[in-house]
Amino acid sequence: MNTNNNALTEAVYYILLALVEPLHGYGIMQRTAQLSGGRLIISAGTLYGALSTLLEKGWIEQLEAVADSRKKEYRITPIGRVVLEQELVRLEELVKNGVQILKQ
Amino acid sequence: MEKMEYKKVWNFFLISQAEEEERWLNEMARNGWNFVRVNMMCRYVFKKGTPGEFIYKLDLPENMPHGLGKEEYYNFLTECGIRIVFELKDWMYLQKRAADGPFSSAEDMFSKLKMANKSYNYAVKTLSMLLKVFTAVMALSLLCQVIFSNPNIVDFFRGVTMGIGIGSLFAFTLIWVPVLTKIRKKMNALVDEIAIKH
Repeated sequence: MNTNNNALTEAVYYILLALVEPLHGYGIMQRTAQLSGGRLIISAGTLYGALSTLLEKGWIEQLEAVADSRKKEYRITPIGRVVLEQELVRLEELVKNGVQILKQ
Repeated sequence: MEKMEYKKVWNFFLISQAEEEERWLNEMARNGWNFVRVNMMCRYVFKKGTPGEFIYKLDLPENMPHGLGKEEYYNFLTECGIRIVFELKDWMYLQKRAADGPFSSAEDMFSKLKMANKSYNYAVKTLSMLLKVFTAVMALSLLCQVIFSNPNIVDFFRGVTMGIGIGSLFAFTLIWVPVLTKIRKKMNALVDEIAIKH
């Protein structure tokens, strides 16, 4: 189980967050754009590569394909959720330190 | 029915100039000329359309060891509202409605790095294929010099060997080295940028 707590890229962080509910490829793009207020538009190539890597790591899973549908849906796995929670702790630390030093 | 208006333009881009080619295709589209196809002789065909309706991007297939294959990548692109207008060897010419937003955010350095990496792999792949073909022809031509005794035929194959040898050496030094160097420098610059922005 690979859950080592390296920093996630912004794109992967948002992809994992989006996949808390099952989504297909285009849905992930829309959700990440929405979450970031339109700032983060992941290219199809990057998203495709990221999904492939995340599947391999076991952080996300593919849902059983619905008959006569070519769209594949993805969802975060329990391991993926652990990774996301670890990342949240790291991000909170970044924010805490930033606020402490700059806003005192 | 209204008659379709087409325009043929000759333009040349190296493997290292994918971004320049994209910029040009997008500029043509802004002026109402939508890309249709291109051939090996670098002749581009455009169709008259509404200015600014579409945006274009060049892409190469993903090489993923796990899970998702080439056909799935095509389906995925379609699902994302992206149409593959034309394919020339490995290159895909992608089209998207401008109203649906850009292919990616402008500051998406990772996508740029990925594309540079794919171009580099493609250039290396093409170069090794060419070298294999040249080596095979050279070997055959050398063999023919040994087999045949007629001096005219021997001279002919000696010429072929020399020609290919010198030709490929020049092509390598004058074209391939600059192409590979340019893509490598682009990748290095993007890696440096990503090191501070991710």
